[in-house]
Amino acid sequence: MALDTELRYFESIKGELLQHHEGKYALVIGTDLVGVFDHSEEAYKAGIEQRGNVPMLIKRVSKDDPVETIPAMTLGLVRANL
Amino acid sequence: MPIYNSFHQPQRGGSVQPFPAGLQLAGPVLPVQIEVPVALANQLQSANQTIPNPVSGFALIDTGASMSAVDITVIQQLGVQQVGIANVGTAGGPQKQATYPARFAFPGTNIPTIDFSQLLGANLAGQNVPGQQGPLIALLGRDILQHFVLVYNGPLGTFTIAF
Repeated sequence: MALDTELRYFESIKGELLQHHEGKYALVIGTDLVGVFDHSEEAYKAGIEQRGNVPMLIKRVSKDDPVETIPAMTLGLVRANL
Repeated sequence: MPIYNSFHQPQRGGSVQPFPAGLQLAGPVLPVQIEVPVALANQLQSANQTIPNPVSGFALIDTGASMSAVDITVIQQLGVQQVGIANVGTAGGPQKQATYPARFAFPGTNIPTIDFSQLLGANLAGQNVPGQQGPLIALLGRDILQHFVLVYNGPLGTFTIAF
């Protein structure tokens, strides 16, 4: 999956990030922590300005990873008619 | 607090008739125009590159979705790159899915433009909205609905958003 490298790197430094930046947003490109930001939008802007329009991982520094639920998509029921 | 009202009430002989079946069939949908994020538009402009045209269609308000979603083909047309990975609950357990940023405008309404930093990329191909001219290209989930008041009036075939 795309961003595998970035995700593995984030997990490897997560403990350290949690100590100083919990609740903020980390920007990772490749195995480079580009920065930590208060808001996700700031991270994206910095990524675009510094590296251009490339895949990047913007991830909230948090102990838990929330699980999103989208039943209509999961069950394929966006348009279900009898 | 600004208010947007959506009516599924066709005019017949000069009088407006309630049409609850219209809302039941189409669902609470809004016209939407999906654009590249502002940061990307600015970067393309400063590099004298063409900003991709917005993609038009409809967005369905989905109170069951914890996160908003965008059709992946729209993201591909806009040339927006992945910015994250979301854990999405499925019957087989959580699965990782790509997320993307995008800007939503709602033409013909007074709803302000919304900048999403993370939207789930979804396959909405072939989803049309009954009674509307255009494809379904987005789902508006509770990440954005947390800022709105939503009133769904089934018997009257209307819904109202206040923001």
